[in-house]
Amino acid sequence: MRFVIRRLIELTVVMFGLSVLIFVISRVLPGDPVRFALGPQATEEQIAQLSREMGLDQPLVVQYWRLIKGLFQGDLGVSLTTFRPIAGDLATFLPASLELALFGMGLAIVIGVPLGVMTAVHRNHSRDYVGRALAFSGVALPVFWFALLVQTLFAFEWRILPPLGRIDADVTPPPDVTGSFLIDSLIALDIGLFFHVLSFLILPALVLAASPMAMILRLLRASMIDEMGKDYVLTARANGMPRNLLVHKYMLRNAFSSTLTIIGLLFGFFIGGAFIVETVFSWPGIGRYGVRALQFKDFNAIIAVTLLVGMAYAAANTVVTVLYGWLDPRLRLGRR
Amino acid sequence: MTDNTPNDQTVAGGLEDGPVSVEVSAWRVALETLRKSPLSLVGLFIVIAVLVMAIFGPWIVPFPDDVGATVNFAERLQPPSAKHWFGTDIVGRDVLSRVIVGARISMMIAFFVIVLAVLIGVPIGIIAAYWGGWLGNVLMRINEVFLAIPSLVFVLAVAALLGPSLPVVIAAIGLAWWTWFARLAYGEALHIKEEQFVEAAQVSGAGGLRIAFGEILPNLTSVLIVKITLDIGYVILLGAALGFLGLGVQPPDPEWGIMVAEGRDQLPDAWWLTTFPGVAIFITVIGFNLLGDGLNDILGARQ
Repeated sequence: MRFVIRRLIELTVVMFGLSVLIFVISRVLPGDPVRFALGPQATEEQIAQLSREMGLDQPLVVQYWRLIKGLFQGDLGVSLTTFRPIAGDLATFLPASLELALFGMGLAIVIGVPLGVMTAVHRNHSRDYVGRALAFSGVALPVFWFALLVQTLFAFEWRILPPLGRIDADVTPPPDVTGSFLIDSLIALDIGLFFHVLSFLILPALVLAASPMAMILRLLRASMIDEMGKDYVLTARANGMPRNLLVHKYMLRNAFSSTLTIIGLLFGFFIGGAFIVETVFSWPGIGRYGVRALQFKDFNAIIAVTLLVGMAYAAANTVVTVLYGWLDPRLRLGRR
Repeated sequence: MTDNTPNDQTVAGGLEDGPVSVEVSAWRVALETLRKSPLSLVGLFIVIAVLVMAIFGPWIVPFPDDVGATVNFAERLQPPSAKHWFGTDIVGRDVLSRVIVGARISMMIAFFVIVLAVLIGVPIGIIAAYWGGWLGNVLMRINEVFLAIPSLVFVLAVAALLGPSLPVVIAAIGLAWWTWFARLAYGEALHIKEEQFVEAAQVSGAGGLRIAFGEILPNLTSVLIVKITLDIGYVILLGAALGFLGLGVQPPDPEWGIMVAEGRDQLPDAWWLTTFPGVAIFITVIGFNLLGDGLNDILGARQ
């Protein structure tokens, strides 16, 4: 329990630092968002007025205080391009992003873990080489290019899967329960809709999963090979324990705990990757919203998205650390 | 076993004779290791090729004029041919020439980002580890705050707010990247700090700075070299992603990410516009990855 509390305190410190960092970047860097938002024809009075409305004429400390207060009240200001409340926009787009990221994460684990075990067990055989080639390619693939590649092949050339979006415009989404179309269509017992939604999800999730899959594969292979050299494995084999049981029950369990550490790191890749994947596949999520905000220099939206993303990432990492400490009690004692 | 013994002896003998022969045999061991791993050699070959393209690009390309904002509508959107190996783009520029010179921008971004990240990150990591206490604590907390934003998002935000250009891209990525070097240097320095030669230096009265940068830093070199090699690949990926989103280097500079973005509208017909720059990124990153792994095997004998 003390371990969890300490992690939570650390998380608070990081979040505070994060908010200061983003605030500093957004206020101290040159570039005039108001002027940009109003366009070149804006008069000085208009600029001054909008600046006053946004509170940009206040001292920095007051501005920061307003940002934090708004954050706790769920008020992130209005977008400078659509003039709609950002918090509402983010709430609309968040479920789509979560669905994509979680599905991609599942895909990465479901493909990466067995491949990692396989390459380690068949070390230096042809299967190992194939697996490692996959791992190297997965890490080196430019996400945006890979996205365009699968989109062109599967959607435009072969027409197997839909190229853009989350659902066909003329199809009614399932009744909203969890926010995930996939799960909601199952809840509504609409199998046809389930596969329809799934067909939209596959390509972006696959692209998003490629590089994390490769990282899981690489790390798991290394730690499985590490495990193989340990005494307990030798003992178990000498005692005639079936290899499958040994590999899957004992070694994988030990090897997996080290893999878990990078899962926190992988969240970062999923979030960063989502910005690109959602843009290429027109997936209506936070990433595409963020890229639009960036391209239109929508100051308030940029701050909100960066804050949200950073906090989600920090929180996810805390959860992983706590989980890790729960799996491996030794870690609770010492420093990280 | 019998193989190793004479090898060990040459190293030991070298120690007695003087430093020169140690270096020679270390080089020999390195070469031997490289020779035994063909993949690292492939990596080395790719890296050298990319460096040659980056340095001599403008002088070796078939159509040097096509690198900038030239327009040649008579030859627009031609598929790959004997004259234009990689085809031509929407305004008739030779894609091969642009891909080759594109190596220059990617390498420039990677080089300056890594220099920046090492110069900021490594001293901070060493200082935090060697002095520890509240100073180390504060430094590492700051580090964690920077780590709390996924690099791509952080870099995108900084680049967008500052207005995208080459120096901004370099500064933005460098500002995100130093944290990894600080972390690495911190972890390594914590171990090295406990070694006997550091203690010996302390006993003989060397000052803190002298120990941190005279004793600890040199022992980080091999780890740093591996990390730098691998990271060059990842920085190139990030820089290209920025270019693709329109928030990195700006056209008409021949940057691989921009070229993919520009070719996107011509898909699937003019496939060569997106394919070749993408493959260039892919191969370059693989090259640095393979070389980094090979260097890790050569230098990382400690593990």
